[in-house]
Amino acid sequence: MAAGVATWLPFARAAAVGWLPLAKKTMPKPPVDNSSRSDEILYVNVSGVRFQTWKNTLDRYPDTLLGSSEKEFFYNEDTQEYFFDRDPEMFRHILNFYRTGKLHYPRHECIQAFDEELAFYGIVPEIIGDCCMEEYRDRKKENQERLAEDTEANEANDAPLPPHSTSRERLWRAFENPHTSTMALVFYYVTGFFIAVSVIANVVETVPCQPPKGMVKDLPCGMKYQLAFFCMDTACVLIFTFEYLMRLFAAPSRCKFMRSVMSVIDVVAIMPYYIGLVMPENEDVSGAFVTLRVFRVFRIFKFSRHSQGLRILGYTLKSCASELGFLLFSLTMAIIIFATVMFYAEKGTKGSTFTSIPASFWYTIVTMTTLGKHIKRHYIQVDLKLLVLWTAGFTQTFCRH
Amino acid sequence: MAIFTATNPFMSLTDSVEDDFELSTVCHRPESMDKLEEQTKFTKKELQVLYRGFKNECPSGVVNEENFKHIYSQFFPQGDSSMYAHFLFEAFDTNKNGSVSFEDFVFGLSIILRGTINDRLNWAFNLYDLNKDGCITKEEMLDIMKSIYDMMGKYTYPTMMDDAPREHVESFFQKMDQNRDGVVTIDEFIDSCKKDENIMQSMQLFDNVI
Repeated sequence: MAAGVATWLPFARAAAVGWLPLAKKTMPKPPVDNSSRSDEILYVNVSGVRFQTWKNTLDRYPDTLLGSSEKEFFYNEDTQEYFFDRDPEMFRHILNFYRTGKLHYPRHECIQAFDEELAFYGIVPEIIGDCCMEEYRDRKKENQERLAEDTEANEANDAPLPPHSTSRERLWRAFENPHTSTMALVFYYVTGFFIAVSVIANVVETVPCQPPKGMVKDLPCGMKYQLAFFCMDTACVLIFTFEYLMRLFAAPSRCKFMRSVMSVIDVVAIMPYYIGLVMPENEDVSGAFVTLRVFRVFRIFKFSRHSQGLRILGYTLKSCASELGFLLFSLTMAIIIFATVMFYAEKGTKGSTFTSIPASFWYTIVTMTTLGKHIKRHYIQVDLKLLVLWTAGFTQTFCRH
Repeated sequence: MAIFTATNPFMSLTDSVEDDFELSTVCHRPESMDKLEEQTKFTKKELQVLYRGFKNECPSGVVNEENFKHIYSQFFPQGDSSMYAHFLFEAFDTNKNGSVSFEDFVFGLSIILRGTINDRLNWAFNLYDLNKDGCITKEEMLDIMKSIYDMMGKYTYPTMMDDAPREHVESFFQKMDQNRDGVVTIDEFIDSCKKDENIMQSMQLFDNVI
């Protein structure tokens, strides 16, 4: 029941005159509440600022501090008032809640301070009015994310190690926080160097080199210096495998480690090499094998251990996941709608390229990414890049990060 | 009732309250407390408490039917009280201008809570007599009965059957309609009620409200 409506109780009781003559039995007596006989003004002193209000106003919410007998603990006999050593600015909002029944969140206040005040006065934040609820929720989410990042950073930067840590724990710390010891730092840079080498090697081996004597066509360098590249690849994979196994050994919780994103990236980076070793030189499978080599590009993501910025990008994408999902869904909906329309519109005409609705999908996608219908198939890499850029830009404005 | 002041552009009395926006820009101030004290049987303190509650819920100084129904529904959440609230509103709105001002409100309450038994019965009769022609017909009674049953909702025992209101109306007329002419006049009503012990006892209830 809303706060102010309680004062209409006499009216509600009076309205009973309507059904009294029709009742078949005597009405029971109404409950007598002696407490609300006389109304008095209460004085509340919050750090020197004096507030006055009717006792009935505070009694509207009996499960809060001010509405229950808990406030008697703060009663000052000498000055005949309730004294609270809290923020008077915030108290204004709390008191307004009693008066109007709606709790508002002041935008300029810190969310944590506000939450603390609410907790002290025994008010649950869920009753914040619609007008301010969205703002409150946004600020709270922001704050929690910030806290999560801070605690993560703090955990990583724990200064002294507990004195009796096992070598396993020391190893884990060395991996997670390279600045603790010189060995860790060296290892950190070495792995970083090898990631870079591996990625560059992948890139360079596709560049066409001078053909060896006796051949006419240009060969990619990978073919020409096959042995050299293979050795480099092996060395990188050995280092990565060694690093992964060491991390697995040192991890405090192996299952949790194996499920973490970084570990998955590590595995995906080294798997293609081992699969390549195992697979026979078969013609059918080699096509699949070539595709597998694409996954070597995932080694670049191993850099996120080395770069804070990349991790933040990852978090941003993760927290915007729902918005991105929605964007994708609405694009799909639009594609389906337009493809259907185009298909049925062109159905009658002869020689139409829209032979079926999925065939119209290609036309719709190309048109929606504003590239026009005369683009050849091999430009699809260009369109995809543009689409990704456009989506990223869209997402930026979509998320409030 | 309202005080028209040429100098104050914000004072006016609405004659119709269909337009909510119009209502929100209108401010109605009641008569002075002394006058109200004379005209009703409430003390100054009681009037103050009543007015504070009234003003809190209706800052514009008048209640329109929507608001009235909304307030009433909060006291009776178990059923649909809109029809009964409508009848109540008609009973409170003595000058038939579509809105209940503080004076209307207080006059009505004064009769119910502080009036004599006769006054109360009179008021109840006024409530039942929907077309205010001085007698209650079976159709009017049926409407009222249905609205009360709707309002009580799941608190009616035994579970309400469709013709429970009709039966109740029949028994009411059996009791009240002394000359068996099919309608109940004010005298028949007051007479029959006074003879009924239950009703007399129930009427004592109001002495302690507020």
